Amino acid sequence: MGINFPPSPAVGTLYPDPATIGLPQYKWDGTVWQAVSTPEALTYVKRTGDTMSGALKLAGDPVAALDAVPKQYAAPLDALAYSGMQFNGSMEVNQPGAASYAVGRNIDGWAMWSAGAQVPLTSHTTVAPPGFSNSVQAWCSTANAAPTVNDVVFFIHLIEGYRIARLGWGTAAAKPLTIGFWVNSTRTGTFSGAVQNNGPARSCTFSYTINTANTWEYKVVTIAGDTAGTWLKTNGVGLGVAFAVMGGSNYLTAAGVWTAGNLVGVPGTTNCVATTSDLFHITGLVVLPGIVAPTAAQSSLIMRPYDQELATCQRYYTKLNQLLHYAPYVPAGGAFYVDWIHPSTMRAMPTVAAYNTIPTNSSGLNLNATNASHTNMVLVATALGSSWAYYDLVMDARL
Amino acid sequence: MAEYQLTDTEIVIRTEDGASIPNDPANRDRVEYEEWLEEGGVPDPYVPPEPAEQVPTPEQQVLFDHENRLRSQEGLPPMTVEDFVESKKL
Repeated sequence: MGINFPPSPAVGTLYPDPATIGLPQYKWDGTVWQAVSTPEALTYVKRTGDTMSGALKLAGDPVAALDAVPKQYAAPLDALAYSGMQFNGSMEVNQPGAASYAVGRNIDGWAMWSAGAQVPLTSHTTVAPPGFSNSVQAWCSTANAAPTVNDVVFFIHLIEGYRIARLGWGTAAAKPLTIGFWVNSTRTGTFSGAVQNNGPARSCTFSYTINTANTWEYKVVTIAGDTAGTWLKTNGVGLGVAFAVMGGSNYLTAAGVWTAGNLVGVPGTTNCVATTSDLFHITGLVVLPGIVAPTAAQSSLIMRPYDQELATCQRYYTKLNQLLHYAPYVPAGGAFYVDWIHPSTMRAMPTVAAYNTIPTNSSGLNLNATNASHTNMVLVATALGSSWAYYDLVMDARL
Repeated sequence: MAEYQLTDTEIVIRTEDGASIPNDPANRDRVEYEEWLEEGGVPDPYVPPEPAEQVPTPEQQVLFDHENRLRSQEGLPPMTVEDFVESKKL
C-alpha cells in the first residue's frame, strides 16, 4: 500500500489526521516523516487500561470449555434448566411401567397418535445419546408405505397451561419459544413437528434434517410467539409439542406459519413407518421461553433430575403399590374407609382404578370420593371381625 | 353391557377396566364420557350390592349357640344370627 504524504507539510503536521484505526500515524519534523511514538494505541487493545470503542464480535460459537462465548450463550445453565416448560423430557419416568405401548398415552407426559393402515407402537428404551438414559422409540408391526392424505403418526408432549402461561401467547406480547431435542432414526432426510394449542385449533410446524442414519443428532428450533388464538393458561392443555413420524398431506403445512387446525409437520416429511424395520427415537426434549437453547454438549446437563421429574409427573398420573386398607373390627356388611394422600397435588380430580386386589374378609372395594389432593376408598367387611385388603391404585389426571 | 355404569354417587364406572371417573370437567375421561352421552350412549344403571351374608366369627358362634340353648330352655324361639348380632351390639 502506498502512502500519499502531503507535499508541503509544516513542522508538526500529522498524517493521516485524524488518525485512522489500523494505520500508523506520522509527524513531519522539518526533514522526514517520523512515526508517532505510539501508533499501536490506535490499533490494538492493551492488556490493561484500554477501552474498546466498539462491540467485540466473535467469529463462531464456543467449541471448548474456556472459549469466549457470544451473548446468547451467557444464560446460566441452572436458569435454563429451571425454565424448561417440558416435563419428563429425558424420558426417564415411566410410571405406567410397560416396555411397549399401543397408540395412546404411553410413558409419563407422552402419547402417540395414529390414523391409517399402519400399526405403530412406542417402546421405552435405554437407547440414548451420551448423558441420557432413556428414549422413546416409534416402530410399527404393520407398515404403511403409501399413506393417504389423512394418515398420520406422531408423538406429542402435552404441557399444562400453568407451565406455559409465561409465554404470553394469544396476546401482542407473545414471546418466542425454543425447543431442543435429540433424534435418531433408521432413515435420513426431512423430518418435522409442530407446536399446537388446545384442541388443537392452531399449529405452527417446523422442520429439521436427520443427516446420518442410526446416529443421535441434536436439533434446535425456535418458534415465533403466537399473538392470536386461545392459549389455556390454567390446568388444561396449554401447549403440545408434536413430532411427526409420518404425515399425510392433510396434516402438513409450510414451516414457521401459525395456521388454524391440527397440523403436525411440513410437506416432504419422511415416512418412518414405511417398513417394519423403520425406527424413530427421541429424547432430551427441552422447551424454553425465548431464543436460547443449550448446545448439544450442554443439553444433558440442564435436565432436571429424576426425583424432581417424578414429582411433576405425579401431578398427572400416580401409581401407589401394595396399599393396606385395614380395619381391626367391623360388623358384617360394615363399610370402612381409607384416605390416600396423593404424593403431588394433581392437575384435576383423577380417574381412579384399583388393581391386584387381595381381599381378606372384605369385598366391594370402590372409590368413595376423590379430589386433586386425596382419594378415599371404601371396603365392606363380609363378616364380623378384622377386615382388610391389599391393592394397587392408579390415579390418572393426564392431559 | 354399556361402556359405562352409573353408581349411587356422581362417579361413573368405565366397564372396560373398572376405573372410577369423578365428576370433574377437567378430567379427560369425564370429558370422553360426556361426549359419549351426547352421542346417544346410555350407561348401565346402578346396581346396589347384595347385602353381605351374616357369617358369625367362631367367638360369635359360641355365644350364639349358647344364647339359643338358653332360649330353648326358656321355651323361646331361636334367634337368627342378624338378630343376635343386633341385640348384642356386636
